Amino acid sequence: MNWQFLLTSIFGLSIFFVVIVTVLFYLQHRIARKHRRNENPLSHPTDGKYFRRFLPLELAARYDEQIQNFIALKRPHFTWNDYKWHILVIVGAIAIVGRFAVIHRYDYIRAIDITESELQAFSRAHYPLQNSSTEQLPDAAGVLKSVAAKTLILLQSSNSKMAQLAMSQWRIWASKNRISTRICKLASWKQCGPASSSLYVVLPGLWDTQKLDDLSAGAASVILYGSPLEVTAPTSWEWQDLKFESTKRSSRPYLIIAGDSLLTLGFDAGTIIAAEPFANDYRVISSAGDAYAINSDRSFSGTIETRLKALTLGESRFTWLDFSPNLQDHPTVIDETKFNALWAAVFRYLLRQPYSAIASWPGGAKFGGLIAYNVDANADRSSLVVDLLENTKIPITWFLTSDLAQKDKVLRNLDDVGELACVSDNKTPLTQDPINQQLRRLARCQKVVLQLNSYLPKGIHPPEEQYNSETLDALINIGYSYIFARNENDRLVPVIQKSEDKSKQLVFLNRSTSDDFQLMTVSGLSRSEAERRAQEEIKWLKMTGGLYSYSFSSNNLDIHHLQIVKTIAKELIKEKAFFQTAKDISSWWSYRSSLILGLPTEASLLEKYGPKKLVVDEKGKLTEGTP
Amino acid sequence: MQNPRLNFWNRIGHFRLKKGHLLLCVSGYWFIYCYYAGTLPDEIVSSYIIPALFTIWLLSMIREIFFFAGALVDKRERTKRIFRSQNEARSLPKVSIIVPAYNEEDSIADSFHSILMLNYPNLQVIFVDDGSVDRTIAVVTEVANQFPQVDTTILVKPNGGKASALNFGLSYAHGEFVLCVDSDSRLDPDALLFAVQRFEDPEVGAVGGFVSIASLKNMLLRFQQLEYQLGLNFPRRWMSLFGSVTVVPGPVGLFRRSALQRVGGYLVDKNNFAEDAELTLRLLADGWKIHSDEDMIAYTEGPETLDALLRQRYRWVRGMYQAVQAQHRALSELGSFRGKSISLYLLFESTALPIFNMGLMIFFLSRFFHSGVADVIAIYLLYMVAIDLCRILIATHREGEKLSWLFFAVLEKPLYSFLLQTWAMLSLLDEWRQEEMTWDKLERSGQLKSEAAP
Repeated sequence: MNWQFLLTSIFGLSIFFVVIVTVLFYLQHRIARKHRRNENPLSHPTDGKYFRRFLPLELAARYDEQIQNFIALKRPHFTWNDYKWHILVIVGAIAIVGRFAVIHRYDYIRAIDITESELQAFSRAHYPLQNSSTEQLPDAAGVLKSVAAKTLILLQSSNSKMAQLAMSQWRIWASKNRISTRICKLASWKQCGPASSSLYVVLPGLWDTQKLDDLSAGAASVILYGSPLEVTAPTSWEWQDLKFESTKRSSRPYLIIAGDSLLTLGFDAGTIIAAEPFANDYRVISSAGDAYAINSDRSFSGTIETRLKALTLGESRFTWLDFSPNLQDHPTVIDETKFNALWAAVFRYLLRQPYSAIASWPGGAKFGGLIAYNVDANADRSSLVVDLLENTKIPITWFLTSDLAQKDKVLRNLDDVGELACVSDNKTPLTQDPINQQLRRLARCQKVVLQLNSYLPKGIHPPEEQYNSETLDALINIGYSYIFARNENDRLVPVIQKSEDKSKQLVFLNRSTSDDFQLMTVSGLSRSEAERRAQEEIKWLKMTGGLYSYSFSSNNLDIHHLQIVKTIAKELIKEKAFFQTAKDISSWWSYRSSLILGLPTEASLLEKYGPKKLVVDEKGKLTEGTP
Repeated sequence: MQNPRLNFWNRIGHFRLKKGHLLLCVSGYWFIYCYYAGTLPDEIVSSYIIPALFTIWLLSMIREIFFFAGALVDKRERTKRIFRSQNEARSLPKVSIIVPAYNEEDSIADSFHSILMLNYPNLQVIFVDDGSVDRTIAVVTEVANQFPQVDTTILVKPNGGKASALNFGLSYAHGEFVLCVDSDSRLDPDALLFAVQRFEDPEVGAVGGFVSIASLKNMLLRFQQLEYQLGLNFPRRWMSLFGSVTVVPGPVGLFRRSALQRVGGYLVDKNNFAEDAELTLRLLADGWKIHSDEDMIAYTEGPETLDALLRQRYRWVRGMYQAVQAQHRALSELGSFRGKSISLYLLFESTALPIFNMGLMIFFLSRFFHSGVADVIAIYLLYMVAIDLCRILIATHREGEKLSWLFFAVLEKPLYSFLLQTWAMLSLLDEWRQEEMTWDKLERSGQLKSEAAP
């Protein structure tokens, strides 16, 4: 028995009782007034102006008849009409108390808690975690050596300032990397040397599509740099899958990498590189790029602008890009390693070097998707989610607090509803607590969910998304495997952090897209608008190959809100996302990391996810395996 | 009041929206919303509710601090007065005591006796029989004959109510000061001796006494005594320092006769439900200072049943509110800081505090029923009990009261205090809905007769 709650209830209900009694007295008072409404206060012999006086017995006989009438006035006959408000108040009070008793019926049971011995059994080991990259970046130095064997031919088609600037950038780069260069006219590219030993850079200018088509037919390796001058005209300029449009200065100066594409295979999807565009007066639209334009704060909305695109045309390979090859032309925040690797990836592709990588997502999925449900205030509305799952089988991850899990009938009996994971014991941020308390809170949540629902939570969505190194230590020591939060991850896919000795790890599932609070409360969108915004974000995530995550809470949950969840789920299925629970996604990511690093993996995962070995020849033709 | 002959639809047709209805709707909506949502939206709570509640709480806290300070300062003043009374040979001014009565043959002997036995040499006692039909006159005459040394006048008039009886008696008074008492009040022998010294300041128009419950035979009466002692008498000490006492209690009040005559005496109006508060505010609005004196004690009967108590409080709340509404503008137009302060204080006491209490109650209960936590109620209760304990300790220190009151203070808050707070709000709602009001009179049981007061 939870004595504390019992005493609280008695205390609170006694005050409520006092209030209700007062209200009943008030109603009684109104009835009394009503029945004496027209009575003259001085009409009764025992009534003074201000008091009704004690009447001596010897005088009573004189007033017997009047007193009888007075009593009759004071005690009117019972009528339902007089007492309708009494009945309403009493029924209302009983209903309120009854509802209270029903809602809190589990509060009277002693709460499941971690015993001191259980707490002491947990290790308090400290694990300084480091990012364990799952990227398979190209060897920049090795690729550059191969580039040095080629002649860099800069193809001019105009003498504009833009063209001159571009030429100087490339000459500086070539000089720095000791690569021989030649300058030619685009119209006479064939006379500049054999295509097999040349690497062409088409500088900004008057790009003649006929000449570009010639290049594509000539087994050439071509970089289209910047934009054609025609783009300044009101009409757009199109060639192949590239559409150049005139625009105002771009508000999205950074570049975000699309995963699993021709150029960026091996890069983590959604990696942001602060490579600023060569010019800002145009934008490029294509059906699929290898990198896109984005703000540093990642706002996934608006037109998707391509910043990098590979084109395989006949025997030729083209790469269109818009950023200088020199590091010094970019902001100082740029990651040098990734920048160099990106250029290496460009040259690797152009030079037709073989390369491979484990795909970001299994089963041919282009991107990942997860839907998380946070049980917060109004936990009783969780029954709506349960009903939804009975009909749709959407893979939802439930993030529960153990306090709520014990109090709600629905949450005590979650069966076959997807994954159950933890927030903590309540919504108070963990970071305010020392490690012992954090251990207790996190372990308690795990224990409660396991005892009530026979499901061992492996993931955590920390309260207020706040955590510190002690939280991470506590999670590892208890046995959690992933953390779902809006963290400072610089990419759109999960990140694995490992201890120094590689024996312990945590998967960080980054929450990069809008949740219900941002859509409905902050942005104040209607249902249809919220659905559109979510679909827009899904499109972005699909283009970049990252992990789309939608998190919604019981706080404002209603059937309209559930409709948004259904729409998102449909969209993820339609777009063939790797749409799973958070645990499955973290499990996949962990498995993928093991494959990349050549570590032993679980047989069940190998059976579930593969991989399948596919081999292609130099021409890109499949020679082994079936996709 | 609604006419019972009107059917439902006619009632709707006759319905007129008043501010009481609006407040009722807002309160109901607030409770239902919080009941389901747990609390109001964060923006509303942080922008409006918390600042408003905090401001009112802060004001009440400042008020408490002043009350404590007032109580401690007042003790020094009292010591000085007692010292003067004992050491200075002075001729004390004449005091006319007006005792209105109506059918009081059962209890008048004791109370009249206590008046004639007052430890004061220069008295004129005026007994006004307000058309009694029992032996009141005979009993009074018999008692008066036992005290031939006291200048006693017995007047008889047709029944017209307490105010009219007091005004009638006032026209026969020739003392410099007039003591108005209830016919069932029993006065302390030293009630006048120290109180008249308060009139040394010519600006003082009245001095209110301290009322005490005569018989403490049940818990309800004990709670009332605690309330009189801590809730009514205690603040008066502070107000008295500035001559700003807002109610000279009906059972015992000493007035400067010229002041009473200047403001026209008591208001004779059947719709006046708090004639003592009304007169006090009129005196304040006329610029007089009003003090209170803790040695001017009257023992009176308290309502013995909950029903009687609530009816009494209904009159008090609505009567006080009406008096404040009638006088607060005149007070604020006095031009003095004191007048404005009193006006604001009265508005705070009669309007803001009941709304504050109701808001808190709604917040507490909705939060409790939604989340099952009673922390805020408990903290608020502890806060109120702590204030009461401080008051009791000061009262104990000042007057040698028993510490056993501490026990009642702990019980009083969750039971009696919440009940009266809720009742005050319901009464105010009636006032704001302009419900018709009648005298639901207190039924006296003759406590003073059966149990002799000290």
